[in-house]
Amino acid sequence: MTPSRLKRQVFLAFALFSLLSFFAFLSPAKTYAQISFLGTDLAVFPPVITIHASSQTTIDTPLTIQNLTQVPITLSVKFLPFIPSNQENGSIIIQKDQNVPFLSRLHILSEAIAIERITLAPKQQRQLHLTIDLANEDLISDEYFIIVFLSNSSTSSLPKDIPFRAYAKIASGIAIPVLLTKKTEDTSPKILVDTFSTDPFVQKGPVLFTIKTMNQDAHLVTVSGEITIRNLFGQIIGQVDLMPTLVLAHSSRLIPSINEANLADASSQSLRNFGGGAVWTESFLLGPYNASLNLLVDNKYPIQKSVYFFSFPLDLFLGLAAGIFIVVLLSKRIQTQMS
Amino acid sequence: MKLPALLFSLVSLLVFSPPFAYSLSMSNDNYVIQNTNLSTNIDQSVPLMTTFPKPSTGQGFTVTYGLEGTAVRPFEFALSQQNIDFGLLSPTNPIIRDSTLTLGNIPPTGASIITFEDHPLTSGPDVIADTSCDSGLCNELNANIWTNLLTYGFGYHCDLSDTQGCSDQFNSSSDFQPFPLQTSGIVFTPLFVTTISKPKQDIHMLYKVNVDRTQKPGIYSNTLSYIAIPNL
Repeated sequence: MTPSRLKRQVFLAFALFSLLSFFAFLSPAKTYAQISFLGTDLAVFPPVITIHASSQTTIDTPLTIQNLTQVPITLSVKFLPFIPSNQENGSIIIQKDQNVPFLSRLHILSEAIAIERITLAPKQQRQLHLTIDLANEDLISDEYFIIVFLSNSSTSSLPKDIPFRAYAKIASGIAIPVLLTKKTEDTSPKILVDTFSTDPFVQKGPVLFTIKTMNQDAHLVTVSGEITIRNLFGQIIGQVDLMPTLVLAHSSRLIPSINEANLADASSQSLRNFGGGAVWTESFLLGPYNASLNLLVDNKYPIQKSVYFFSFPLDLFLGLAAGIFIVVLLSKRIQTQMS
Repeated sequence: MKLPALLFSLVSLLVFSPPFAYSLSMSNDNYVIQNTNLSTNIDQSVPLMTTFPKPSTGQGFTVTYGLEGTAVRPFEFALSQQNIDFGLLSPTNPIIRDSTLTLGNIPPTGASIITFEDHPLTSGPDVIADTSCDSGLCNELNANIWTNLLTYGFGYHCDLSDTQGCSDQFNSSSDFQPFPLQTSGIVFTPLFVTTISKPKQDIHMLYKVNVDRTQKPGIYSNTLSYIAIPNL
């Protein structure tokens, strides 16, 4: 190929590239068929409401619900009573008997009008009000219920010409637990630490603690605190902060540590599955330790308990001992052979 | 001449190519085109609650939100679809469909999801009963294996492989159980419970239906409800 021909080829290739780039920018605008979003996406705030009521009164507190989809949604509003689950981890169980007279005192207001249904436009956020009428009665015991916002699904998009078919409509609901409790006078609540335990012997960390509190009172309490770990010499060498936890009336609750949220990424499966407990993440341990549980109930009433455990890296020690033994044996054999 | 011809072809292709069109689903009264891989990603482009009410204090009462000393965020729950369409049924031919539930901004104490059905799949007086699995022993509280083509009914499976929080009874992908009935005496025990705080958690569900030859043709349906609840 002559130089001039080569130059022409290069020029044409460059021109082709420029032209392609130019038309790429000028290509017809992309068109999108309208997306018919098939799902639901709801958000509420706050996630939990706790109300302390001290006298006959009418309670009014705001809450917010948001529709995060691009289509409108209609929700029914219901109140359902619940009790704490016997798993003692903060989950709840909807009560079998939903005909609780107290529920008649509850209302959800939208712009001062009581509603049982609400329609949210796409992406709309709406503030509502929960009102509780206690004007004519004293609160003797706690009342626990959830506010449920439940959608009704549509089947208009399903084909109607198949004679033998099945489909399940799905209603999506999101709930806010509400805890209504009486403000009590300054008397010590009837709560005790039913369990504070750990393995008495561990080879290495992390160390798992089980803390279970039992509330024998007619009203809920808040429990917070920490576990302080001391070594043989009484020095504080570790601290585990506990998550502030609500313990409902006449129920038990496992108290987790604040760092438990990080356990989801832990490499150990047993650690990931360890729910409802406290974790001291220190890895290398040696000797006897004392763990002191220091709880504060309702930010006022202290509870203390202690537990002892011993740590020795048995596997590591046995491995080292075996290694030393082998080395000594080999060196003796070598000496024998040399002599 | 080869290069100019190539250049002309490419330019023609670009200029006269049809516009791009994207769709995830289209429907009208006669049909629906559905992409079963619809993303359930919580739409990050929509601001999640830009304003928050403050807890109120009035005469004789005080209100607190969430737990003292912890950040309080909006709690979110999304479903990938509002209908599970099994399509055309044929005897001894099980049909499985799936959907995804998504929890967002799980609080420090975790969250749960309860579920129930209003009634079994029903078409007038005819019913597709809830499954009792191959052994006949699965119920609303206990899952069991369901693989036999001659075992009929309707049930669900909560996938444990990528979800910590479903019942550990769903040991294998063949374990199913029926939905609790809304009107039964069984309390609504949670389908899913987590005590781990996370920005987002997906729960993958499978739904299975199988009918026998004596099942009368019809359009069978029911309503499944999922309610997401923050833990305390």
